[in-house]
Amino acid sequence: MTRVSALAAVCLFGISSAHALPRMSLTAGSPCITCHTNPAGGTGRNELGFESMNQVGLWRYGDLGLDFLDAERHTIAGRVEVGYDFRLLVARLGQLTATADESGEKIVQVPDYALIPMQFQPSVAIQFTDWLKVYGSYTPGPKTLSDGVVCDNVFPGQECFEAALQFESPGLPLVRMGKIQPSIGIRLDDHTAYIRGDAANRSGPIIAPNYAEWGAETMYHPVSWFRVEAAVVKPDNLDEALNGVSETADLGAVAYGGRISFLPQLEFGGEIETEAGDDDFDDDFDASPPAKPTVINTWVGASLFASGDFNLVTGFVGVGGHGGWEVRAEVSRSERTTTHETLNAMVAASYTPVDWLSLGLRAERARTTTDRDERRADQYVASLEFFLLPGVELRPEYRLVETESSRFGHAVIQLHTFF
Amino acid sequence: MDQDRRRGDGLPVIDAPPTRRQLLCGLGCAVVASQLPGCTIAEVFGDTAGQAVSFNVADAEFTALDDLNGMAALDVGIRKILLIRRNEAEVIALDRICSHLQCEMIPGVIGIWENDGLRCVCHNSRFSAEGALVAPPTGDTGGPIEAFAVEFDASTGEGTVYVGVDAT
Repeated sequence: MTRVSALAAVCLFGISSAHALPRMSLTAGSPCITCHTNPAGGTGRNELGFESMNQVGLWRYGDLGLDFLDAERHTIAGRVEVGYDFRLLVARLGQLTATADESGEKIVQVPDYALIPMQFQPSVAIQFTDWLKVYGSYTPGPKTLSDGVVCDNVFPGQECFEAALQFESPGLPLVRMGKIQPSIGIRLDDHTAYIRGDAANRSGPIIAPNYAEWGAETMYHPVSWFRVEAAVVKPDNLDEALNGVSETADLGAVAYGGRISFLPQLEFGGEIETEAGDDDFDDDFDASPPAKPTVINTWVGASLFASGDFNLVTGFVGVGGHGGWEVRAEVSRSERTTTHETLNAMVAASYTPVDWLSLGLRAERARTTTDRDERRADQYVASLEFFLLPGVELRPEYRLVETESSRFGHAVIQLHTFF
Repeated sequence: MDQDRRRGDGLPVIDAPPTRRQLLCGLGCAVVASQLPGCTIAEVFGDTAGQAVSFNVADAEFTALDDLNGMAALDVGIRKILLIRRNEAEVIALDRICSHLQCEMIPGVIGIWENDGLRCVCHNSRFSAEGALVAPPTGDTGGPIEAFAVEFDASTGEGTVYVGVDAT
């Protein structure tokens, strides 16, 4: 119970919100697997993840007289965890175009706002034994029902499902095998981010949302400040992403991935809780809480994902504190057989003054050099993550995108519900 | 942290019901968010004057036109043009912006010339060599894309595209 309480405290106190975001890991100083089934994060939350998000919202369902919607838990028989993510986006879908009227005056056509279903992804995880878990999720596409297609992917290289066996035992490396997403840089929940995109083809990122391949990955996290992952996968979806239109990369039979992360946590001041104090956690209601130290979480690391003539190198650094602030940066470079090099960078910061509201800023720069020309795309995003109710998030954003031919800024809003 | 507030299973509750300040903050955010749609910035760079623009397949940016089905991009002010070597004697010019969702049909990346037609990879719109919409994306409609007059001399590799002006 003590251990469960301590882990719960990591999620409930350290994480001021309950969403699969890098900012959560940085502000809490805990890895994604603390709250997610998949050690890389994403859809599929464990009981602690569920409990943490079940506490976050401007209102609770009970406040609105909807007590029947207050979920107690999402685990069935203590072994089966179910969940989902659902996202709707309202945005101007398309790009700017311009014509000239009879007098030669420029007329810019702005795309209309459209309602865009982004994601519906149910997930399940079954804990067979203490050391074996099976998890998976499925993402139908916009034409799945109408055309009867099982996998209807929007982006080249996107996968409609993930499914893995996950072996985990204390002191030993975690191993997962199946249809998995290898650890590449920092996994984001925003598929419009340019960091692993392509300025020459903004609708065809190198690593698509829900990218996954058949293969295996092992993660070793021997001490809190160090983690390493290594993966071997069959790069079928990578092949579709890079060579679906025209051959640009001579890939090998397998792709290799590796990520190394240093995660030192710095503490200043405060009183140190003893083991005995920790054991009394549930009983000592009247005691004054010990003064908290100032905690600064950091990470710095790099990843490599390569196959044949293709390689994608990413470096990342981040710093965050329990005060709800974090700043991080990521740089990603890729090259392939033909002259098609990408060099992308991102700086992001967020502040979470209360658990149901987070303010974020992000600046991105993408450059792609091909044998034809160089393409650029810069994106600036200001966002609010507004958790109205447990599992209901509104995310208004203002996005400004500038390319060599246009500048386009507009507001979008995303509805995200999850369980 | 308020350690006195705990739920039945012993897990602590981390925050109280929203205060008036929090509610006002939330309402303020909602008001700001609702006003953002009016803040659209829309600029397309380039001038609008009609022009006759020359090209030569010997130039680096047009060498792809040396090959049958080769494609090259040409910007004429605000207009984005796709040049395509349709056959030995003919180079055609089509609008590079897809009529469906305005994807830019970057040569060989998003715009693919196949079966004597142009396919936009974004959502699989297909256009004829004259710019007519042959096949819209499933469940969608779309319109044609503009075709521009081209004079091309295969013996010299020189050509001229007429954008917004009549061919001589």
